[in-house]
Amino acid sequence: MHGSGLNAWLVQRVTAVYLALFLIALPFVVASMPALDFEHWRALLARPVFNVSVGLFYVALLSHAWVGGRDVAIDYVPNLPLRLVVLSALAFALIGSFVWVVATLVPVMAL
Amino acid sequence: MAFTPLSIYALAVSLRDAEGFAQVQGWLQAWPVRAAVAIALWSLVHHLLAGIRYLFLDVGRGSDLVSATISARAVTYAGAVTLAGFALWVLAR
Repeated sequence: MHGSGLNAWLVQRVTAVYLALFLIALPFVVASMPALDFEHWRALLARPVFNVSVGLFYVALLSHAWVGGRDVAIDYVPNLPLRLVVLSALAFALIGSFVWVVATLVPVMAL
Repeated sequence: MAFTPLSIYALAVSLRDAEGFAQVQGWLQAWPVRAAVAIALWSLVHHLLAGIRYLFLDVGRGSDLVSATISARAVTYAGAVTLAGFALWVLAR
């Protein structure tokens, strides 16, 4: 399957389903909070189930963005050295974002 | 795309302490911020609906010209309706 694009297609679809379910559920989870203040917000994010769900949301989002951004670069940046620069910049930005998400979520989780 | 790092930043500040949480709430009171968030949410809802449409096309449903045209219009109009909803949220400020 290497080079067929099936992997990228599959990653895009699987992450899309998770992102859709998360984004549809999120307003209901927030609405079910007893009050929208810091203590309840922090307590919600401390729950391992929600904490990990948010972490997975960002993993899915960043993976989804990689497939989409890569498709755009392949379609619209025909100059190969420039495409490499664009894709490298995107990869660094997405991996940096992932590190930031982990650094944000891990200290909040109640273990 | 810029909203991904911005959302991480807002999440980090809102979880820091009570002042940080109030700070993020304060940002969302300013109308230019609300306008930017409204446009981003509209893009997101459109992307979500168009993506669900593609999932149906993937499994071979709605691929004929008539259905595909109807679903494409439905996605665009439904996105416009949500934009109207988000615009009300901006004007409520």
